[in-house]
Amino acid sequence: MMIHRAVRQVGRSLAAIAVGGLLVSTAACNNSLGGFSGSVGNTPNGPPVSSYRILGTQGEPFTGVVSDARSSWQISGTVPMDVAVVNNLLPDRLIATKQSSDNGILSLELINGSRVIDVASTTAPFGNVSVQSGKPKTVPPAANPDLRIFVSGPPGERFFGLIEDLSKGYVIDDRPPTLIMFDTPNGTVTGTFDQIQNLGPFEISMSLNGVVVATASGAPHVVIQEP
Amino acid sequence: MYQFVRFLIRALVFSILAIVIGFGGSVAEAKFSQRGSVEVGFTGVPPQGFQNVLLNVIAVQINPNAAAGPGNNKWQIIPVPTGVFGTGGRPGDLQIDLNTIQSVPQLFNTAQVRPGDYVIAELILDPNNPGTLVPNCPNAGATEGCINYPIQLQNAGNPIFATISNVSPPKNGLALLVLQLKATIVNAPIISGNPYLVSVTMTAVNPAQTLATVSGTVTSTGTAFVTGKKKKLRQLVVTAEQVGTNNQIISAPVLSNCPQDLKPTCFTMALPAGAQYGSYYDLAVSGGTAKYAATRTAAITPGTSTPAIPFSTTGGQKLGTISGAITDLCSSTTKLVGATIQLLIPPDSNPTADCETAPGECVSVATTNSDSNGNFPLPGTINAPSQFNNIPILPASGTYTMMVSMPGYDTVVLQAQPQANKKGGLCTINGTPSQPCSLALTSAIISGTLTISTPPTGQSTIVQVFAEDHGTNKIESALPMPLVLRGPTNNAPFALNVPSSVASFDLFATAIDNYQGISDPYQGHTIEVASNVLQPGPPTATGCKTSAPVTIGPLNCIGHGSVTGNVSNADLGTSVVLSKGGVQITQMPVQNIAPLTPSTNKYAFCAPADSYTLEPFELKTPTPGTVPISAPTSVATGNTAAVTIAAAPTITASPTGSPTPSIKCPSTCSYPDGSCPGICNNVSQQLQK
Repeated sequence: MMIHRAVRQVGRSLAAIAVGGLLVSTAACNNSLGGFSGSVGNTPNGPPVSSYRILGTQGEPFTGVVSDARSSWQISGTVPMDVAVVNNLLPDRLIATKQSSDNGILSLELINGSRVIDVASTTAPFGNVSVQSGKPKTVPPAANPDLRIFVSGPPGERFFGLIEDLSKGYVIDDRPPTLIMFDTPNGTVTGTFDQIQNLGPFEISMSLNGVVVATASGAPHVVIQEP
Repeated sequence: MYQFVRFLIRALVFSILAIVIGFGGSVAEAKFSQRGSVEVGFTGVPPQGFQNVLLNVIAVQINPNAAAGPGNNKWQIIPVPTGVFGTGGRPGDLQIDLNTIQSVPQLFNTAQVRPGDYVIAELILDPNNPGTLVPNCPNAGATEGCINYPIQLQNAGNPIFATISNVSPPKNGLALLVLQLKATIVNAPIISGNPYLVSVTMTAVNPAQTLATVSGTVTSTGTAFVTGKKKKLRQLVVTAEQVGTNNQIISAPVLSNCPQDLKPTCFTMALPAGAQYGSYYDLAVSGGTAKYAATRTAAITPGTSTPAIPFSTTGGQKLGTISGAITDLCSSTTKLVGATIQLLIPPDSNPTADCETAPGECVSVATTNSDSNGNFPLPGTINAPSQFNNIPILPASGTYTMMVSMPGYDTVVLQAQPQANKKGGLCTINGTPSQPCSLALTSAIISGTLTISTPPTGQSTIVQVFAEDHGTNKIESALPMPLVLRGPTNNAPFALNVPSSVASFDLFATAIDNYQGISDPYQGHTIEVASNVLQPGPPTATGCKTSAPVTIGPLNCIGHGSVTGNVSNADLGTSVVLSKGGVQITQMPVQNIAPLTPSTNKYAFCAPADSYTLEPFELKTPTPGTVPISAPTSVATGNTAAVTIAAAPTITASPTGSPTPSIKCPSTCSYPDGSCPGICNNVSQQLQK
C-alpha cells in the first residue's frame, strides 16, 4: 500500500514536471526579443516578424520611417522603444533621426526572428541613422490601413503577444514600450497579451489610420480587439 | 478534484522554478553587498584612412584564472549597460567608434563582480555583425569610399583576450579597467561593400593615463538617509553629467561602508579626462529620501584624484511627483513626444545661481521625457521609479526650477512643486501659481519648398531639413518626418517648427541615400542651404506665424567625397567646422592628439563633392582649479580654408571596364540619363589653429 502510494506520488510529480516543462517550453519557444510567426490558435504560420530595437541614451527623442516592401509607417518616440512589423514582406528598413542637439546615442538594431541583422548608431546632434535587411529600392506608400498597437507598461516587463487577423497569427516576445504595426491585415485584428513578469499593468491602445479605436489595460492577460 | 488541484499547483511550482532558474539567472547576483565593482572603459587604435571604425561590443568578461576556458564558472561579465542600450535587462550592442576614443576613453559599464584578483579579460563582439568600416574616399582606387563595409574578423570565433593586472576590486570597492582596442586591416576587398578582413587585438592600459578618480562624502544634516536598493525608492547615487547638460556619464552608489580615508557615507567613480587638458563635469546627488545636492567640478585631469568632494544633504524627506502633459500651442491636439523635462538646482560651486534666469549655471538633478501621448514622466519600475515620482518635497511649499525643452519649440523655465499623490505637481505658469504642470509650448513655422534633381521613375529620395541659429552650428530642429520624393516628382513642400525666440536661422537639407541598395552613412546628393531666414515672429492669439516661403535646392546627384588633413598645434579643445555658403553643416573634434605618439592631429569629413569652407574652432583651455560658471563653448579661430572636392567620374548604367568595373548604376544616386557617380575623390587640406 505504502509502495503503491509512493509510486503514485512519484508518478504525479513526474507528470507535474512534464506539464511544468510544457508550460515553460511553450513560454520559452520564442524567448528572444522580437517575434516569430507561431502555430497558434487556428491561424497558420507566417514569415518571421521583423522588429527593431531603438536603444541608446534613455529618453533620447527620435522620429523615423519604418518600411517593408509593401508599406511604410512614420513613427516617433523616445529611447528605448521596440517596433515590430507583423505580416511583413522583405526588404525591411528603419530610417531614424535623432531629435535632439546633444551627444546622446541613438542606436538601432534590426532583428528578424531572433537574429540581429543590422546595427547602426549615431551620436551626432540630429544625426540620421538607418538599418535594413535586403535592398529596398524605394520607400513604399504609407500603410493603408495603418493599424498599430502600442503596448506600454513598466519598462522591462516581459510579455508574449499573439497578433491575429482572420488568416494568420504572429507571436511577439517583447517588453514595453512596444509599437506593433500590422501590414495589410486580412479583416479585423485581435491582440492577446500575457505578462511573463508582473511589474505592473499594461496599457494598450490600438489605432487605425491615426485614430484610437480601442484601448485595454490590466494584467496579466489583456485582449484588445479592432471593433 | 483535490488531487487535480494539487497536481496543477505542482505543475505551476515546477514551471515557476524553471523560469527562475532558466531565465532569472541573477539570484546569486542579488548579493551585491558581498561584491566589488569594476568600471570598464575603451580606448582605440584605428587603422588609418577611415572615417569610422565601428565595433559592436556585447560584453567584456574577466577571470582570475589566466587559463580559464569558455565554461569556467569564474568568469564575471560586464555587459552593455541595461536600461540604456538594452531594454529591461536585455543586452544590446554598444557600437563604439575607435576613431573617436583615441585620446579620451569611452566608458563602457560598471558591473558588480566577485572580489578577487583578475588577470585576464575577454572582449565579446557581436558574432553575426562584429562591426563596420567606413573608409575615406581613395585618391586612386577601385572601391568606393564613405560607404559601409562589414568587418569580417580574422580568426572569427577565437576569443579576443588581454592580460590584465591591478584589477582587484575589494568588497564594496571599485577597480578600473581600461582596454585598448586595436583594429588592423588584414585584407581589403576589391569590390565595393564587400567585407574587410580585420584583426582586432586588445591590451590593458594604465587607467591613470585616461581616467581621473572622483570621490567624496555625502553627509546628512538631519535625519539619516537611505542607501542601498529599496522598493519604490530610487537608490541614492552620485551622477556625473556632461557639464551644463543632463547627459549622464556614469552613476556611483552612495555607500555606507567606505575606505578609511572617507567617512560614511561615500562614493567613488572614475571619469574620462583629457590628458594635459582636462574635462569638466556636473555631479548630482539624488535618490533615497535625501534632498538633492549638486556641484560643478574644475577641470579634472587623468591620473589624479580630486580632493574629496563633501556633499551635504538632508535625509528623511517626503517624496512626491511632478507630472503633466506637453502640447503644441499652435495645435492644441498635438501632443509633443520626447520633450525633455529637468529639475535644476544651483551647484555648491555657485550657490547664488538663479536657475530661472540663467539655467546654464545650474545642474540637472532629475530628468524625464514626455511619452507617446505627450505625458510625463515616463514610467519607472518598482526598483527604479521615475525620478519625477521620487522628488523630495521641500518644506514651506518650496519650489524647484523646472525646465521644459523640445527641439523646434521655445524652452520654458518655471517654478514647480511636487505633490505626494501619484499624478500630482503644481506649477507657476505665466505668473499664475498652483496650476497643473501641463504646458503648451510656443514656436514659429518656417515653410518652403525643397527641390532635388529628378529621381528616375521607380526610385525615391529621402531628404531631411535642419534649422540652426544663424551663424552658428547650434541645430534647433529637424523635420519631424523626412521628405520622401518619388521619381519623377522633384519637389516637395516642408514646414519646420523653430523657436520663436531666435531672430534668424540657417537651413540646410541633406539626402538620406542608399549605396547600391544598402544604407549609405553619407549622402551622395549635394547639401543645399538657405542662410539668414528671418524669424516669422512669436505666436499671437490667432495662432502661430509662418515665414515667407523659402526655397532650398536643388539637391543634385553628385556622389560621395571626402576631405582630410591635419590641424597644426591642435589640442583636445580643437574641432573643425565644415560650412557651405556661410552655413555651418557639421563639426568634428580633431583626433589623435598629443600626448599620443605619434600624434597626427587629423580630421576627416565625408561630404558630397562640392565646395566648402573649413575652419578650426577652439574651446578655451581650462584653468586648473577654476570652476566654470556655465558650459564652455567653442569659438571660431578665423583661420578659414576653402576646399573643393572634385566630383566622381560618371559611369554609365551598364558596367564598364575602367575605371570602376564593379559599380553598377544607381550607385548612391542616378543622373537623369541613368548614369551615376563612380568612385569618389578625396582632397587633402592642412589647417592652422
